[in-house]
Amino acid sequence: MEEVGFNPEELLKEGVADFVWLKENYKELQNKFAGKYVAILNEEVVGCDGDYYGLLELLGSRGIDSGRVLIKRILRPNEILVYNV
Amino acid sequence: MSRINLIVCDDPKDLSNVALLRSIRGSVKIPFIVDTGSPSTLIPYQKVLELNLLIKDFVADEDISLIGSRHKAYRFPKKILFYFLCSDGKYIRKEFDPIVVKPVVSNRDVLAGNVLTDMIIGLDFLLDGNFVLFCDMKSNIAYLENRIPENGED
Repeated sequence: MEEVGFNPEELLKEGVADFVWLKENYKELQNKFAGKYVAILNEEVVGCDGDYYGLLELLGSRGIDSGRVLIKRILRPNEILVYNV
Repeated sequence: MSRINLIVCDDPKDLSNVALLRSIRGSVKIPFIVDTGSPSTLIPYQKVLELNLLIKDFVADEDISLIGSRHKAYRFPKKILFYFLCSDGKYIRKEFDPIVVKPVVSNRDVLAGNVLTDMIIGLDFLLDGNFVLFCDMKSNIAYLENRIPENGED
């Protein structure tokens, strides 16, 4: 039983829908936001910045809860991210 | 049994999806990547800050090399709740104590464009949660399957 006001199912469905939208529109997003961090909510970019912490500040100034959005860095067209743990 | 899809588009570059992390002080959405080359499950430091967890509670662990730079690894003494959406529309919840990774560089200008945004699900999580990884890239099907009761704790 989850606490009142916390609905993980709704938050997850929202997050997964935004993630699918990000993947399906990646090339278009690359044209606009390559090398930047984007915040996505309800299948829309609600903020972007080249600085991760700058993006958090921007979201705060717009009254958007950073816990609600999906944040990803958009890779440049010829960039590959390898974690190499 | 529940399945967590790891391929959500036609041209997958990785095995990934989105999870929800929950602490006593908040929750955050986080993309995750399943990496069978990683022995440990890693969470970016700034995501833990967004969960409003106290830095003083972290316990330093060994250093880790990640995305081309050195990271300090920390253990968080309390477990974090992980939530995943399953293919049947229900969710599963699991308590786990991941490693928190923080870049060694302190200069914000250097750090700003090189922040890890994803959680890396490593072998320890798969083992602890009794997850089975199925992967058929040619058919565009990959998922984690576990035996935790639906909408329940492990």
